[in-house]
Amino acid sequence: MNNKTFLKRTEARKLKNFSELGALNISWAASLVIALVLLYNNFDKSVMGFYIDKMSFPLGLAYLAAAALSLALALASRAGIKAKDGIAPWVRAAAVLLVPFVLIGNVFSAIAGFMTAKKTKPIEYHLAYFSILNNMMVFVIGSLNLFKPELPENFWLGQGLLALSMAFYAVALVLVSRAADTGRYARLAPLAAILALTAAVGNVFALLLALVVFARIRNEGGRNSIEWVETLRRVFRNYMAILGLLVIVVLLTLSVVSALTFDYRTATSNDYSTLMRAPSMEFPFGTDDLGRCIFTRIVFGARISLIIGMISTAAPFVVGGLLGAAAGFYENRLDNVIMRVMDVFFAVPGTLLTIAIIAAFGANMLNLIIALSISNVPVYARTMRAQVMVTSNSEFVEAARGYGRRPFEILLKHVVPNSMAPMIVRASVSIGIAVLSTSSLSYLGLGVEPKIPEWGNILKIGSKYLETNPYLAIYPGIFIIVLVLAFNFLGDGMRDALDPKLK
Amino acid sequence: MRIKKLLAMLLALSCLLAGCYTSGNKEAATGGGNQDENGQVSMEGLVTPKDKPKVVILTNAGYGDEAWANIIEDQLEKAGFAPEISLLPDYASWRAAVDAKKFDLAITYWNTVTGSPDYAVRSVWHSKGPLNLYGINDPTLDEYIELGSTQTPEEYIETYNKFEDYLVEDKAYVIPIYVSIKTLAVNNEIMNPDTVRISKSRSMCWEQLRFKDESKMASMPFIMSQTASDLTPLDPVRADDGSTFMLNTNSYIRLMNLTDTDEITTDSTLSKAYAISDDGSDFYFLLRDDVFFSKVQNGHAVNTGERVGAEDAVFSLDRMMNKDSVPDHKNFNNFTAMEKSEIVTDLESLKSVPSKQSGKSVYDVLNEGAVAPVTSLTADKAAADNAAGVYQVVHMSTKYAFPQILNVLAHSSGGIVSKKQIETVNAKFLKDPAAYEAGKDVLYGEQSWYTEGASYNNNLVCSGPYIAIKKNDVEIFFEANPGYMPTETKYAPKIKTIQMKFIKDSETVFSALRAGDIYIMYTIPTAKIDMVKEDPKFTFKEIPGNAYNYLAFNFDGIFKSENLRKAAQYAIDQEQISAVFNNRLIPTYSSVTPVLNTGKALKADPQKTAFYLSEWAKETDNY
Repeated sequence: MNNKTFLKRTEARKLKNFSELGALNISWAASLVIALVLLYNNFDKSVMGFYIDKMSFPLGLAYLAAAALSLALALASRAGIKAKDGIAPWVRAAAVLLVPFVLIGNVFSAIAGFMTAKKTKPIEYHLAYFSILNNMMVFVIGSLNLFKPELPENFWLGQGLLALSMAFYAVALVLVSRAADTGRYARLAPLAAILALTAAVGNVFALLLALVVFARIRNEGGRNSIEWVETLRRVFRNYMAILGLLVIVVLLTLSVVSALTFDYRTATSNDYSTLMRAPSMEFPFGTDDLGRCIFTRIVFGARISLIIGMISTAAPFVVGGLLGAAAGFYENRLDNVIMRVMDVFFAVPGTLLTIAIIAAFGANMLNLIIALSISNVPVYARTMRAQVMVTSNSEFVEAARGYGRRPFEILLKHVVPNSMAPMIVRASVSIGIAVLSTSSLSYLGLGVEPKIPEWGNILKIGSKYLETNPYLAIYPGIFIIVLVLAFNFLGDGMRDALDPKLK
Repeated sequence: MRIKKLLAMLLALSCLLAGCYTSGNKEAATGGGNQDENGQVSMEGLVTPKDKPKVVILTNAGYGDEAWANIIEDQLEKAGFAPEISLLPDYASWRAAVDAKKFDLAITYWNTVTGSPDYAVRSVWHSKGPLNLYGINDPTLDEYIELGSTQTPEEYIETYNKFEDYLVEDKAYVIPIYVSIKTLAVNNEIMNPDTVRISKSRSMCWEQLRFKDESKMASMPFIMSQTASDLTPLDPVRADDGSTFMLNTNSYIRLMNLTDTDEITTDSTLSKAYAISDDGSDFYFLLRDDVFFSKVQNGHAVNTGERVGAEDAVFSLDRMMNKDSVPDHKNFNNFTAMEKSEIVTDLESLKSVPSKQSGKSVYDVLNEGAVAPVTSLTADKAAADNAAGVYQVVHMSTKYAFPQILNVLAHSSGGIVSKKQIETVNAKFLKDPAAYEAGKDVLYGEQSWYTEGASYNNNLVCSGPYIAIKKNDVEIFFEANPGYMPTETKYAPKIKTIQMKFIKDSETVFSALRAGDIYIMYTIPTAKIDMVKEDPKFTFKEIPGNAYNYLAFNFDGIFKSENLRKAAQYAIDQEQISAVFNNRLIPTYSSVTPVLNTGKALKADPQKTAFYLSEWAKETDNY
């Protein structure tokens, strides 16, 4: 009996060690759910029968296929792990078949495909295929514009650049994986430089990959472990965190690339011939009461949400961080002055302060950012202060003092870098909150002006038609939820990765 | 032959290329033809303005105007203007901006509440009109207005037709946007839907309301809602806005009423009959004897036993035409044509005056409406006894022939008040107007009299079917006047209590309607109309309204130029605006269009816009 439980446990542990299996399981489950939702669209309740919808039926079948393939591979891997402590090479080869499903937007399968395809997976490999997936997603989203009667002016340029970058990432994938195996990074410097350049479209994965390669070169082929790369590796062990990061980076890239592949006028200019259309290939999320394409509006809305979210997090991060660091490090009088001022800020409810600022100075993007930033400063100051106080008492700080370093130098070089972890975690979560606040304020008419395609604004129009045309509110709502969830998952993952106890 | 072919091919190729070009993402070039089919504008030698005309669109968010402000901005932008919306929170700030001329186009509306064409044109377009906020001063317009006011309906049609052509197309003094359709949803599980009226101009008629279950009339209140909770006085001549339009209409009886389609009628009025002298400047009203004033006693409406009679009617008419009868006479301008009013006691004199109606004498016309032949007239209202032939007659004259005054008398400001009560409550002001201090001295009808609390001292005395009992911040209660035509089955108020809730947001009102918290709703949000139609619980009614929504120009700014005004006029596409609102707006022309059903509408025309924009560019050397 005992023996049986023990065997079961070892087996479970063994299975858990293979991240591929987890990814495949998520892949088939998620694909199945999406397939069912899509196929349900083909079910007509009024006649209790099926009809074939041009859009959702083939898509549903494709997802079903992805689910079936993932399930088969998952079962095969499971059997392989149980029997031979490893996944069979044919399973790994077959897993490549899952990758093309990204073309119908199925990232779960694509991730599982990439994960299963290679046995040893250095962080470079992950970063490279996420770079590809990211640009592929943006490419697919942009391709939906093909169903519009008019293409944006620079559409093909944008899509072409994306395709080119994907090809380049594929090459990079092979090269960096080989380098990771052999440890010979020296000749990859030009590649890394180009990678860093392509990251200009917002592909954070490519940027990280470039940085990792540079770091490896500096550290003589990765013989020494690099702290932040290790942290990154730990983040990539957390599936949800990395999925969150993918969502964020896709939206970020989309915000940049949409300048070429999308037409801003479709988002802002009224079209009286296409009022209140239901979702179709031409208008994937339908059109609103002024005939504007909701899909395009959401794409451009991502830009505003991310800009506001990031700036209004970065500003208090820096300001609050510096104040907190000074307060925590110099203590006594300065500490008292700073923290009492912060307490005053803390005492005012954040939303109230934001609304007051906007009411006083008018509703526009800059005021919104300022308003959201100010109410966040004390949060960061407190976090930083607490962490700095802990770090200041560490032995290495004592040592630095012993060496006769100036306090300011100690603060900047030793204390602050070692107190960043909780700040980063807090920031990643608070971007999500900032996105929510922006949307809520726009919904109340206090955010950005109504014409600008901000998610809260889009939702506000939808709320008028909640009963008659629910899609007007559902899609922007989903995007707000997904982005905030993504930041929260990423925040969780970063906290785990940065937690010394969980290393 | 070959050259011709080549040329044709070249032409076809260039057309193709042009087609490719315009179907691409660049803005399509406007115009192209040499001559308009109608030959109205020449498209030759057009220029595009170097600097696009900058236009500030003044918008009142309080009326929810931002919805179409967006469309107007969009249409002007596409037509080559550089528009910008200035969104103001309420009427007060909107009005301040208009008065300060801080706008180029102002979104506004005019509601012809009397259903008469003179009322539709005089206030805004006459050079002396009280609501001519934009400084329109055109003798031709004034002439048309004066002429139309003296004419009969058959005659004035032509005058007003010319007036609107001159106003809209010749001079481009206004950009029409739309006329709205009035809508009504009735909860037919509670109400008898046939008793809830929707009218073009007049406000809701409470006395006709009946529940589906007639046994509940006395025990259950009728609940509805209105937007404004801060009320102007329940004194007809001192109220001119939506906060008390319905309340005054139902609190005071009038000499005239409007039918649902804006014809004048004596139904549910103090008049049994009316007569107009053949020159159109003398008006006679035969009064009924079964309407008594009500007052509030112990929190309920009671019959004072005092008849609403000729002296009250004359007193009320005098108040209407006398600007100084109250401190802030809001409706004086509607009654400027009135000259004097009096009680008629000499029956014989009526027999010698020929009437405009059917050529009979005034006496004969009045007699036709009497329950028993009119045998004597009395000045003492207590002595009136219609069944015995004892009647009261009121005579009113106008300074010039102005038959449309009857429509004005049907407006809520034509309500008849109690002479005795007004003279008591307003005694200090009436004795010495200079001693009156606004804000300190409380006059008759002001809301503090009947607002719950320490100052509550309900001294209202009402001639209409209902009387206000008490009010607070969220609702106001009315009770039926037991002395209002008690024997008339159709017009005697049967529902005892009316509860009016104050709800600002129309979406909330709609939710309340669906939840059964209120029983009827006027002006349903357009997005919800289909839901009302589909729900068997509701009876849906609609009627084209008289509210003319338009864009007013600032003639001191960039729109001093007639060419630019015309360019803007033809850029606004009313059909598109209507499409956004489920095609529930009626394209229109001028403010008399809905009143006289002239059926005209201004059609958008991009070619004309391009032409006039070019003319403007030339006249300002801006190309």
